[in-house]
Amino acid sequence: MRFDMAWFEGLRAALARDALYSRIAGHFRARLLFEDAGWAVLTRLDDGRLVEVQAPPPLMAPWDVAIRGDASAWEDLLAAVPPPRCQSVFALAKAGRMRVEGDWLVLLQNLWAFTRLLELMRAHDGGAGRAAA
Amino acid sequence: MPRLEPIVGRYLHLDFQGQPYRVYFEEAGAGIPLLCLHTAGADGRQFRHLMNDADVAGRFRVIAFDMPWHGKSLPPAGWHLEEYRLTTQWYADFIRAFARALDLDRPVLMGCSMGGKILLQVALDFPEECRALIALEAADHQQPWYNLDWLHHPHTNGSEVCAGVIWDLMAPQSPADLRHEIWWTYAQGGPGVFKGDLYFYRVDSDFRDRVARIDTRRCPLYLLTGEYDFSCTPDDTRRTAAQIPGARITIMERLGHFPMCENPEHFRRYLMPVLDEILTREGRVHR
Repeated sequence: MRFDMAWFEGLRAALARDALYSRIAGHFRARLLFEDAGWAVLTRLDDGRLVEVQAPPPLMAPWDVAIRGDASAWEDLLAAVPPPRCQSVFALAKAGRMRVEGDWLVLLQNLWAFTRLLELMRAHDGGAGRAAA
Repeated sequence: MPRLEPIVGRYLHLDFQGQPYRVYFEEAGAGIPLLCLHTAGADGRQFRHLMNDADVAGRFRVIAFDMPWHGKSLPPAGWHLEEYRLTTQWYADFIRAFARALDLDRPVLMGCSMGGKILLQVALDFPEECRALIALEAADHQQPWYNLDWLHHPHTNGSEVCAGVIWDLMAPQSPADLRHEIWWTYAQGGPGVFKGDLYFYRVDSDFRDRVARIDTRRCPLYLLTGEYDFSCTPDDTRRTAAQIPGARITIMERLGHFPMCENPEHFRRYLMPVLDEILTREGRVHR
């Protein structure tokens, strides 16, 4: 599994530290499922704060938006410098390498915060000290 | 002393297809007219770096206008009574009318995204009126990749959705301040305008059946696309160029969908050889 509970604990702190995310995510409430063939993590965001992480999620656990891709897609998405046209879930979805599913209204009402969240996941995945631009 | 840029902004009153328009444009420099066309849902500010580039403005009169409904160009009277939808023929004819109104002598046209794509129509309609066409992030067709209805929807913040969907099109290496500036300008678009522009870009401009008729002997055509652009991909541009004998194609490394404003310093290493070539063809000294 790429992400474990400790990884998300670190992300929780990274979200709180980020000035942009803190400014724009105040109303961000969503249950986001991250998944590839071998693992799944369900996160719950409340007013932008990462308040719950379940890995693996319990059976029948509801979610709002699922981001699914194989290991190579996640690798490219979260690379410190993503390869061309791998810089976002939308780019990878257009290429057929990831899937974004669920409640589009939730996603698009929180698009800016969601985008920043993924950038912070990239920065966090690259190790401590690397800041998202 | 105040620190002033060389850019000057003015308003042009233009009667077009029986309708009066008040069109805002900016310009800087002197020389061959270089008329710049902004992307969908944006405005001429995207070319501020180019206008402030002495190597360009020293040899070209760089002009960028805000399309009606965009930036400081108001929509025409009665705009509120119908949905805004940009069409291919209206767009090409408007560009031509603007160039004629300013009495531009065979300008070089450079546009990005929808501003680049329309140059394929210009190449078919009135190539002899232009010295060269520089199409950035352009192709004969792009596969739609999201539902446009979300760009203008009562349950979402249209400003943030429009800005949010274009954010990812930029290269991650481009300077953060400039990427955030582009986000900001997209968030300033009028309701439904980005979506209306994309009617041209996605629906009314499938040029796959006609680009092979473009004759680059009548007007040179340059196609430059950033490798990080997943809306108009390098393969889209390669496919297009392969159908047009004489078209010059460049895939630009470390650039996305907005090369002239997401990383202008890096972009100029691709643009300057094109401008130099145009000047050489015109018999002018380039530096």
